[in-house]
Amino acid sequence: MTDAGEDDDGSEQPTVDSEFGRQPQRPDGGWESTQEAVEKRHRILRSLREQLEHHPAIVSAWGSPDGQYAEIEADVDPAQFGCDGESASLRVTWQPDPHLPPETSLDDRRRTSLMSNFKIHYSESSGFDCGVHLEPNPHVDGHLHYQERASPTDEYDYDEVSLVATAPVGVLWEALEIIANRIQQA
Amino acid sequence: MADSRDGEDEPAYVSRWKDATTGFDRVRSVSSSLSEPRTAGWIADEAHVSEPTTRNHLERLVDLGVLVTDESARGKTYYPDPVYTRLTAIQELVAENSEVDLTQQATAIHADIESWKAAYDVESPRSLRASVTDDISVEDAQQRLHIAADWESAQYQLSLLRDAIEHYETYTARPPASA
Repeated sequence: MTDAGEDDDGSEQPTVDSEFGRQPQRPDGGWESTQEAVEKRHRILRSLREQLEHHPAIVSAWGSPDGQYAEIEADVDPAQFGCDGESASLRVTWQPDPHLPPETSLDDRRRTSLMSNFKIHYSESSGFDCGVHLEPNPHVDGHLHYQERASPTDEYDYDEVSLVATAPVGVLWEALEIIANRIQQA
Repeated sequence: MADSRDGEDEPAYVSRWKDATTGFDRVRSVSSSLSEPRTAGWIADEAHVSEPTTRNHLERLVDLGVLVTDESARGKTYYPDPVYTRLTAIQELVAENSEVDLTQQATAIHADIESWKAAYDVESPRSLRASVTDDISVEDAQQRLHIAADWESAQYQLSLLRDAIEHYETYTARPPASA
């Protein structure tokens, strides 16, 4: 495992901001209410769940925990990714108006025009896990990256990746393609 | 899964996406997941559907109450209708859960919120964020902010559950079968 928890298995979103508790900034420069931000995140995650259900590798997908849509979880058919593991799962988080950790900025973002944070993270029963994440990370420049490790006791390896898509649903399909390609190359 | 299609100059993920969905599906999905109002041209590019066809789909979605429109310096923009968004979230709850299930979920969320209040001695997610100061560890700060976000999601879910439970009979009413 690496340190500081920035490079985890997709279960958390960095939300620290130098001005704790401030509201997300709107595209028009105003400040969005918490309620609007929560509704937007809920709506985007529901759209992502719908799209996951169209993907040939996804067996089922649901809002988590208990249908709340704080994030998405999915059962995956590992054979569709060229793996012979018994089972696999996917976690998807999406933060449309992220609070960024101190000393980090959207100005540091590279290889995408997305302003959101996200994690699209695949885990196998064998212990292997990998994902495409867009968030500040001390191990890679430009926020957008791919990370993988062979088992929970190993450290992650990180690589820069690029995205063409900007809409969340397109990003989902593109990220799943990146994950599939990386797994097949491994 | 990396194969590109012969004769098509598009990324493999686009080919896979097109194989699994219709153009209307993609336009609806892209427009339903917008973070800000966008033009038909932007949505067409992201959905990989021609702009004239995208405009037709978008107008159909406006007629159905899925999207609302606005005029901006960029031209006509589209954004998800907030009423439709809320009602479809409630519809999903009602379709996938019994009234008892919904009540149990609401009870569980209440319990989560009470446990957060007790654990951090605060009354709201905003208060929890405000408790993050320089004299606590980075790990504790991340944990508090993560819980604040979950707390807000839980409150929103609770508002949907209350609506679904209060109107469960109305939302699940079906006309009697004809003889």
